[in-house]
Amino acid sequence: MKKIFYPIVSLIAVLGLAGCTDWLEQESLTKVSENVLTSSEGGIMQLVAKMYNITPMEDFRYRPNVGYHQYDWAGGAGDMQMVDMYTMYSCRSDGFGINFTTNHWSTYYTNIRQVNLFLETISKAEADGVISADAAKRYAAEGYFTRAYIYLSLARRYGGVPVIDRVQDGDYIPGGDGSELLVPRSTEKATWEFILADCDKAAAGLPASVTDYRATKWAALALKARAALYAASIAKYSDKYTMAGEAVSQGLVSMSASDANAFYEQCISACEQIINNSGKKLMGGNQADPAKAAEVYQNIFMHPESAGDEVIFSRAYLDGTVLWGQGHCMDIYFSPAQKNPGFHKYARWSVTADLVDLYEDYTDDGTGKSAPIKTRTDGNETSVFRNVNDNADVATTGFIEYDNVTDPFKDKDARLRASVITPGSTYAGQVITIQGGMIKTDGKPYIYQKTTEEVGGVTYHSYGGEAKAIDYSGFDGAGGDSDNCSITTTGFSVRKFLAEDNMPAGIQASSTTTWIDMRLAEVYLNYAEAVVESGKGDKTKAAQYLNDLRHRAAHQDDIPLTLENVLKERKVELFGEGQLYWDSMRRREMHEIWNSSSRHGIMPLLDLRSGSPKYVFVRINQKNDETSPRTFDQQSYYLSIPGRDVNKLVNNPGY
Amino acid sequence: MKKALLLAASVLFLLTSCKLDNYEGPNARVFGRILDAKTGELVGTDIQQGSQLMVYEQGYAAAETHSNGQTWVIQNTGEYRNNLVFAARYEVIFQNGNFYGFTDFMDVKTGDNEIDWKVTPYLRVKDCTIDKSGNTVTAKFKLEGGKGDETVSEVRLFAFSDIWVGNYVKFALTGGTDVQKPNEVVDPTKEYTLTIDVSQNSSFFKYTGKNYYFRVGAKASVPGAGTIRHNYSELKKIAF
Repeated sequence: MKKIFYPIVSLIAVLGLAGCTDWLEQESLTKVSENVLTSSEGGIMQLVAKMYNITPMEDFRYRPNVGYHQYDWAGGAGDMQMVDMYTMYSCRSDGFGINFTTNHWSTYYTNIRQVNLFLETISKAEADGVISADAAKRYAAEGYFTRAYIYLSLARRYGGVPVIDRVQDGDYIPGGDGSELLVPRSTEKATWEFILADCDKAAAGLPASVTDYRATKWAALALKARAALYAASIAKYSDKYTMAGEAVSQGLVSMSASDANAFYEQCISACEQIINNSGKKLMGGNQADPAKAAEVYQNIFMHPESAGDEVIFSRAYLDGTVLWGQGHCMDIYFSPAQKNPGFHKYARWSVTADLVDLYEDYTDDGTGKSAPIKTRTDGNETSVFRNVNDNADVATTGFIEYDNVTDPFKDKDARLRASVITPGSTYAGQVITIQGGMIKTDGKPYIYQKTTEEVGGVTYHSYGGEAKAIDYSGFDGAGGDSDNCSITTTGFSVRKFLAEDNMPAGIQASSTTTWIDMRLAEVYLNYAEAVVESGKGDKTKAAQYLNDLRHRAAHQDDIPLTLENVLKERKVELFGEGQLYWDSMRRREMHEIWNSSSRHGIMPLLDLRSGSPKYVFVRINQKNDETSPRTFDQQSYYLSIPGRDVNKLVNNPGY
Repeated sequence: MKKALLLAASVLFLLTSCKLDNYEGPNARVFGRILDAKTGELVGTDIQQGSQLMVYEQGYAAAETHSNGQTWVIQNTGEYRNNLVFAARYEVIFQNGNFYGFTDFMDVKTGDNEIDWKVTPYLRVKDCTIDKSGNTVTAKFKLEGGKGDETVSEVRLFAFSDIWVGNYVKFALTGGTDVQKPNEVVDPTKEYTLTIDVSQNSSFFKYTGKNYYFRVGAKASVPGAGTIRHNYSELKKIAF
């Protein structure tokens, strides 16, 4: 008996005593615990930084088909420009579609939980006396701002979604089936109303000015205006969305046209507060000289930190070549071939002719009409040459013969030259040569082929120069594979956002140019659109804001406030800023624009038929779109909701 | 004895893990046709983004609330087939297609199940002829409405290099004579004529001695019906 008594006693003692020490509850030495983080204001600031990090901004590091914060080249800024739809990755054809179907659902909901936990932490820290009531108010407002931003991203993609406005941990009944945690989808209308309410909560607690990149009251109101305009457009154009199904009949997607005006009014009032009270103004004011106007406009995007008067909310970057995980790839990816910083993929942003044609010229008649580039003597600028290298009509069509390759673009809106590199324009001191072929003295066109002809002792090259990427930047190798297509395929390359005066090294994540997420120009345009669509607000002021933007671009006349003018102005002013794709989505234009449609280019050809060099311009299909035109199907206005076996949500129509 | 017991226990323990724990695979096949309730003809659609069956297996909460189901594609011809189905009762929803939508149930038994669906197409393409003469392909046809008061929003002559020709699988033709947007209430007496100028589209019709495929598609406009897809004539093969 004694033989086993002692071992049993000692076993009980060891097991029992083990429970009396903390050795199972040691804190990790490599992580900061929640208690430490929430017991000082410095710790709380770490959590605030996290809020800005999870704000789903569609910035230089957003890649629609991959995710947010993609900083290296594989996930870099590769598709950022696709968001704007008038432009695209030059080298790829990417099938027949034009829509982004990647699910960011779980990212959003993970982050919504982070915000809700953050809001709880803030009120606890305030109750514990760690932070003052004023500080708590601002921090909480930053939480609401982030949450509104996440729900805006969700609603744009899925329509009405489950609204989770608190931490659900206390709801769970142990041993139950967890059904108390399942929140059904709110209607699309209720979802947008929740977003606007969060924006209001944020605006109420945020300061009017900051010296860093944190959100202000004006940022919250600008977000509200953006969201309200989105919701209003969905309601107003609901009859253009014609999918049937349970989500439609329950109001989980789409809204009624009668809901539109209430949202437009919210947009108008948010814009008015910013315009009247924020002290923001357009950088540069009215301009007289187009060249100076172009400089002013380009500088806003090249040096956003010096455009604080106009910028409302932005995100800055550290140099990723020094600090791993920071920086972005704007310059290495998108600089024109002749001035690429040296990375192996470059010149990937071929701006389409569809955008270039939208800009006005300065021979204004006060109507604000777009002035498409003139290429033909018969004025038929809607005609496009299919398979241009194989098309006999090229030799017989009456083209306008220009003496200089730059002539067709010389009188166009200053914002074109500030946003787009057109053939023959200068970038960082280098003339950018873009040419798709030549018509030789015998009258025969040579397009997409490398050839030369000597006339009067001068050798002319079909691509405008001898060596690709050294002497020329266009068309050679268009449509090739991903590593072989660093060239414009449309005749145009992007200039906006590039660090033309201070090019970084050709290493991934080397760019540090600040991303402007919201600026006064968008607020002006949101106001003008809401006024013209709803008939509410002040029409005179709306017209004035519209024309203020044009006057900054050196236009001297005034144009009337019409829907057409507002939408055109939006495209040319906000090109590349991540809004145009969502504009087409909310206005239900995607399925009309992209119905077996191709993106277009304008190809300069050297014309030697007269014996002296002239230039003609041929309208073409972007090469990849020639055989695979693009179609957007209506179901893509709302993505399929993932995880329905578990979350039991009603799916969107068509899936 | 103890050893034997231990051994027996060990063997039993080991053997329990030898049982196959996979479920049975699908045991039924479902196939059939989408038929025009009035004429008994097949109602053809697009192979991509065409009409489809939305199928919900009864007995599962997620399926009964329509939060999770299956989508079965209908072929160009108007036939469908799924060879990997579990025998069960299913709810079937037709919507956003080229005929008036409805909901029904089907009982799928083990083995083959032939299930045809009688539908009312939005439009019928009648008396359709598609011929090539010289460098012109001409289609002549009339239209009839499923209920009679549909609006015709588009008629189009589709061409492609294989049988999948339709609204999503087609040559992007130049010339503009292959499509009309009448926007008028369907008139059964009206004859439409659409043409394709082959010489203007020589980059598509590249080869002689090869077959090209054509279909006439007509798209209706019916308020509140959801997305409406094209109704098609029969496929026409023409050797160039």
